Amino acid sequence: MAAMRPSVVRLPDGAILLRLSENERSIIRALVGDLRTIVGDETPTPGVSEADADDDAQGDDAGERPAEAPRSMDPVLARLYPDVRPEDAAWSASFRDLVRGDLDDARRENMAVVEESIDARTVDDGQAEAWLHVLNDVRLVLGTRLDVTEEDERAPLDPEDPDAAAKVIYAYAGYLESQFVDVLNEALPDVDHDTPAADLDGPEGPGDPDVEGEPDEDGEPGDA
Amino acid sequence: MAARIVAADTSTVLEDVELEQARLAPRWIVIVWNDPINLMTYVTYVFRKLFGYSHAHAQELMLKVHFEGRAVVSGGTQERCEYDVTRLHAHGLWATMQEE
Repeated sequence: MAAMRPSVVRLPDGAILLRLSENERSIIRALVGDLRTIVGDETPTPGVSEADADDDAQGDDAGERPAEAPRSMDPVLARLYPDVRPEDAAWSASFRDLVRGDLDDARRENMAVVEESIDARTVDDGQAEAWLHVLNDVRLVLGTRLDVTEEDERAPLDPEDPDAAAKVIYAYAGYLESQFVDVLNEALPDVDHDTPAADLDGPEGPGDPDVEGEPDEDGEPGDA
Repeated sequence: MAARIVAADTSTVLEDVELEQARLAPRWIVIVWNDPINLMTYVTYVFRKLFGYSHAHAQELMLKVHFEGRAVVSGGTQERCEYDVTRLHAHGLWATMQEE
């Protein structure tokens, strides 16, 4: 894929060129439609996830990674709206109810921008940002459904795999997303200073055993 | 420690009280966790965009998330951290907050 010519290119006049075929645009349109079925046209009534909100059962490793989201929560929703304070499920559920409307509004707005510019030859930075958001959300949904791991990225695709088609779409969305990231990254002003907050270290120092990869294996919120 | 020497200087005492109050206020931190979906370049971009970090620092934090499983990316009052976590969630990152 690296040999392919780039699909997202900054033009000298500042516009961002989308070198996408009709097929690619159709695929993206369908992916946005899929995302819309998850985000919905309106935010669900607050409180739907509170059934298990008082379930504060935590494993011994509660300090090592976020606890599982409430069991009633679909893994995809749990990934799009993670617990903010995993040690306090009730608080997290209330907070999710509080902010979910805003998160959904932002997602719907981004989807609308992509749909409006789906056939555009060029987009501006604001539109490109919306494309980036939508592609990333699409990958979160697909990746969570496919239960991808970091190893999958390097593994050759098995054509017999019933998920092969979905995995190709997932890989394509990642390829396209990375190009939006590169173009937008270059537009950010670099700074040569960082705020003191940037120098914080974790509650535990580096070198925690077996922290790495744990969320990959079974740590996706809502797995249980 | 030096209290006996400067005991006559009441401003020092007041300063100590204020420092003590600041110290007692709970401090919160925002943690971003590793996940197999978000692209490494995307995570770096989000850290730069949301927190204004330099590219080098944002990349360092991203690599910490990737190799150590998590990194503390911001901190401050509870309200500040709620704001940061929500912005990270809006960008699809897996973020949580906790008292330091």
